[in-house]
Amino acid sequence: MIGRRSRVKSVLIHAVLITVTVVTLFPVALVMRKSLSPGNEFELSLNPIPEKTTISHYKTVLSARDFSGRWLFGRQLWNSFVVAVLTTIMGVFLASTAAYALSRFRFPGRRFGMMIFLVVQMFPATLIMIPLYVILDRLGLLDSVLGLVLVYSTTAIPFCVFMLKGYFDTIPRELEEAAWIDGASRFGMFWRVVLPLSKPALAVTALFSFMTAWNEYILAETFLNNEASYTLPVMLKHYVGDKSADWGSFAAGAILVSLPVMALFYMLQKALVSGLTAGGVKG
Amino acid sequence: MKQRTASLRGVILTWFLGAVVLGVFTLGAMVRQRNLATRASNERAARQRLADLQGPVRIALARGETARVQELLEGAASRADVSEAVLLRSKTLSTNLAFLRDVHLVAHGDRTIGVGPIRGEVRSRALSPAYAKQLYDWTGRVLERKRTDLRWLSPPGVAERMEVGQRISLPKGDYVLGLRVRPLIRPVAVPVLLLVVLLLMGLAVPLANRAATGRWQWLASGAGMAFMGAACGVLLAGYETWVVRAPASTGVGGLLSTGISQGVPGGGVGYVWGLVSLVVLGLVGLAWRGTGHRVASAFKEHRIAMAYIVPAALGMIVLVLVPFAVGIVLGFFNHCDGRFEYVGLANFTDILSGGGTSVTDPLNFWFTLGVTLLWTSLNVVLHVSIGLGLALLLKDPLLKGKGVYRVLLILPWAVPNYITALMWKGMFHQQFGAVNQVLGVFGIDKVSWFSHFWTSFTANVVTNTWLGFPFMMVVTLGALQSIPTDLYEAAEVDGASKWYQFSRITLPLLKPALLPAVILGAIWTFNMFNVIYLVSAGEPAGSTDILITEAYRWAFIRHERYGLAAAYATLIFLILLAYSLITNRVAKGAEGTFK
Repeated sequence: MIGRRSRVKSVLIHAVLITVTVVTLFPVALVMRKSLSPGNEFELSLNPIPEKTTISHYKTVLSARDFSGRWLFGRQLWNSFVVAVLTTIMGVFLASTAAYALSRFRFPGRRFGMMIFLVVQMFPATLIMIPLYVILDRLGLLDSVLGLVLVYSTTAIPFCVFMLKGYFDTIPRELEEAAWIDGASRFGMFWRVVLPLSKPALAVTALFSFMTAWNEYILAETFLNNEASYTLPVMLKHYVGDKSADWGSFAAGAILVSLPVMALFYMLQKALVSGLTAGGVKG
Repeated sequence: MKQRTASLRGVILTWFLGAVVLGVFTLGAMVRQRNLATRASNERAARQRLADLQGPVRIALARGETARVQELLEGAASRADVSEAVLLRSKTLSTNLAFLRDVHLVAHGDRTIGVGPIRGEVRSRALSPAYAKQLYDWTGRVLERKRTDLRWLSPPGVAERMEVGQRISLPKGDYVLGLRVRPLIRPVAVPVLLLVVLLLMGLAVPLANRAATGRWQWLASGAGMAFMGAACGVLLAGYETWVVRAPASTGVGGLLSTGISQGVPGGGVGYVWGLVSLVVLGLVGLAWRGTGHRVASAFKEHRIAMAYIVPAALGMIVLVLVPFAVGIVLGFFNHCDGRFEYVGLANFTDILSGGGTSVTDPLNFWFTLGVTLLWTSLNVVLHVSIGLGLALLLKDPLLKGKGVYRVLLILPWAVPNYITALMWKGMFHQQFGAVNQVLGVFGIDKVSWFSHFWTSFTANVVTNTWLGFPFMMVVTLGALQSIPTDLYEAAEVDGASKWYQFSRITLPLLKPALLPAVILGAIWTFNMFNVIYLVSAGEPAGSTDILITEAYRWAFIRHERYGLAAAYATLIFLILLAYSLITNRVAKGAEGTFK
């Protein structure tokens, strides 16, 4: 009796889960299909497997050139990459020392500092976008990689601080004390003990800030004017404007741009969850 | 004793620096006085010429703007909200587009080309081909398709932007005339008296501070800081007007007089001065509270910690706090044509009063706020219930293929959210969209998703639900694992029903983990720019915009009104701040019950 009931139950559970999963995967499958099938519009079909296959969309995206014959995809890829890498470096470099101080020292203003980092991390950069735009305009940094890196750092630094502080807190102080007894300086303790021990956390943090910068759309859209200086998200958006939409190229581009970061995401998501939920709460 | 001397020194220092700042401002005022006079006479001349222009220009007027433009052209140029004529050529297309939006008037030789504001995604700064393709007017007629085709807009030999008073000569043939009409916000005078009073009060406080002890001392210091801060704010925000207006009569009388400003060229200087005075006054505040010394000694004592924290702190100050401060100050200004002028609280009152629109108007702040709150609560409820439901299903230890489901179900989280948004926009396409296909299977007619408020809103919500439930699911799964199973066994033994177990064991134990996630999720959703901006784009007629996209539109799509947009952003910040203060308490309370 009990066996039968639980079997019915598990079938039901599976049915629900399968339905939800299909609904979840369907849009992505459609994009996959579109990227491989000819034509610029979505087809009138629910079948996610393409009837005719072509790689022409991928070719279009990869070989796009502007008026003066510059290879757009290459440039945009490079822009995205440079922006993301510089943001990561800036974030991790500045944040690792700050996170260490917040984790190990007790000093006046510590709680306040933590609070500022938390508040900034919670509130999006979109809020200070307007003043940033005005300031960068005055400084002549619109449309430049440097300007965008500065803007992205506003979100990257607090995020990195929190992720790293959470991890530093888990490293036992005894290790540092041992190093201290062996004659290491304060900086030596940080540099030779704590940092090597937190390599995994550093890697995760770095990859996350890389991903965030890589995936950012609206700030890039606002701050960049020139096709050759676009990052990849801006390029993708421009395939599907209001009046004319090339969904094929968009789909192909979306897959090219997002597959690597999606893979990264899957590798890292557990760390992200613990970082997001644990890092912020403990004072 | 130490405290006493410190605050006395502070008072002297404050007076001294205050005097320096006032001196600098007065000097600046005198220098600019001349420019202003020239400007005023130029303006009169320009208005005259504008009035002369009406003959040959073929005019088409947009809804809403009719009266003002007509008035202008009929020579009623004395209105304060119309101050200059701008003649543009398309050296940069961006300028032209900004002008097209602002002006609602385009003439091309004998032919009237464009009527009304241009809808769609037209930005002020640049025009990529993709944008150019979207150039069409409010009647839906396509104006131009390609970037290069727009070159005809250029009238030969005319300056891109005319300074006020510069002679406008129109060659026969193709030309475009733009009349830049100022928004109807009127500049407000800086209450100079108020400023002085604030400064004096700020100075009076440390004197009281000397007499006070203990807790009162802190209070007095705090009050002093607040007064000083308020003075800073007024000073900063009022700079432009100050310099313009003060020397109307010289001396103290001039400084105390109030009046209306007409923006000063080169408003950027105002910022520099504003920031400088902010820093100076901040330092003064510190010195005068006697904290300067304390901070210095704290620095010495904790110098190692400071060495570690300083790089990031500097980064944050430069990248976040300064823009933040500038943003707040910008809210007190109106931006027009590259110039900022002080308008006091006009932006805020304009927003909060709805700016003459009714509450049902999409441009009304309260309408947008309502939409935003509805949007946030609906999404959070959906995220949490779907996430929780799935997590409960996946919890079952006997379930096969758990890992596979889990990996597949977090896919939406992995997809960059701008791609998600665009993808769903495609799926909601009326003709080709998959959503209408699915509905068609059930015999439902094709829905034009973005032409009604509720359907458009639904499209946004569906997209964001797809995007957001995995996060809640993962968080809940993690929290569920930490609930000891013997609790359930004990409940089972006691004969508790499943619902009873869920409501008395699962939910209370999930709360500590779920609450921060919900709070965070609500803030994310509140600011979920990409979904709104890319899926519905505010359609129809801006009604599905949330606060943050509305702010963006004011800054970058309509009229470059940075001031108004900054005021919006400030209001959003205040709302979020209030929200987090409240939720912080709630979260702390919840934490307390489980300790």
